[in-house]
Amino acid sequence: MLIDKDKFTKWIDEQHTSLFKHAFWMTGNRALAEDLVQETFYQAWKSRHDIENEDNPLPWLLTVLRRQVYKEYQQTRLDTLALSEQHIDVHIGGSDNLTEVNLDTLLDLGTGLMSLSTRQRELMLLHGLHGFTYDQIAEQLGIPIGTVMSRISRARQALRAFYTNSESDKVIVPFRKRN
Amino acid sequence: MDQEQHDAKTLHEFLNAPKAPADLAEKLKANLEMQIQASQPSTSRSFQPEKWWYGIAAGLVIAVVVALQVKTEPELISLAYAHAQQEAHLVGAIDGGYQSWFETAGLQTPSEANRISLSKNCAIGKQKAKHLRFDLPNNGTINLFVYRDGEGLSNAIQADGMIDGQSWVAVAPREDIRLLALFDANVSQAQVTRIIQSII
Repeated sequence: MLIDKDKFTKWIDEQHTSLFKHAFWMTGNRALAEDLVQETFYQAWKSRHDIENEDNPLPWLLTVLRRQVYKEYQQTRLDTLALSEQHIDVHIGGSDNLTEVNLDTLLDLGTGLMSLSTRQRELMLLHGLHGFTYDQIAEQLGIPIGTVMSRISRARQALRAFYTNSESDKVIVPFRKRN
Repeated sequence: MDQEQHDAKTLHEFLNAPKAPADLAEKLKANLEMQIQASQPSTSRSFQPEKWWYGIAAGLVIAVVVALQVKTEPELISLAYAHAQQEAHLVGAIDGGYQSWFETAGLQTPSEANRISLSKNCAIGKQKAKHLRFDLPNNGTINLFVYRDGEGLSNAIQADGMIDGQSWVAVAPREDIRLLALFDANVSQAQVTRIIQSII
């Protein structure tokens, strides 16, 4: 199918924030997330003829982003260090209505997410952030629905542990070192 | 609402908290414009001959120009590539830095975050250029050549390719400015685009 420029521009307007959030939680780095989203749309335009459902481009765009994220993981050496607020670097604006307590929880959640495997984290984002059903995730990733359910269940359990564990900042997780 | 639904709602709200940069959509659209522009063939001038032999003459001229381009385009790129290899060991601002050169050329200087490890005046073939080398945090390297008197480089407009395992892209943001970027496999096209965008 041939996507015209106007339609692709509409995709940019509608989908870039979702892709950015996904990339951010996968990498924990705003600058890198921005790079990955730009690379995603660059590759998406080149491969625009491959999309099957133009009316719902998010799953396809996430597939393109996923390739960029894993490519980045393969190319870059991972260093081991404790996560801190600096790595989360979430911009809290006036419209977010996040209290200080919620911000603390958000930081804990970020640490918890980063402690998950990249696969588990990705599943949590597809389900918890983008709202895809187990069926849809299984189809997107080409894995059995039972695997999706069990992985998400384990990821949730792991995250709950972070909500209740006040020593989360002591957790050491694989994470990239970038300035 | 049961506990599980409440947890899911809370998780969704937190995952949604990070804000995308305010200018990201505009950058993406600008990237798209550049990408479309780069993929289009060089514009051909409209020309309506009054006589039939004008057409033949024009055809001959076009054939010569095309032949010259086929010959010179790889030469331009290969000369730049060889030059970048020769200067790979150089580090620092040589020949007075780049800020004033960019200012004189009416260009923006790349942001400090881009880690310019080399800036140097050079001559590639008969063309003078400013050579900048960017060393990225992930060990990627971009060699950027900025030609101020680029009218002669008509073949280096909106083209890209590979040379000896490195990618190159040439863009013409102004009639007198040509940019040629050579970059290795650790560098993404988006990173190159961002640097070019920050300059023009």
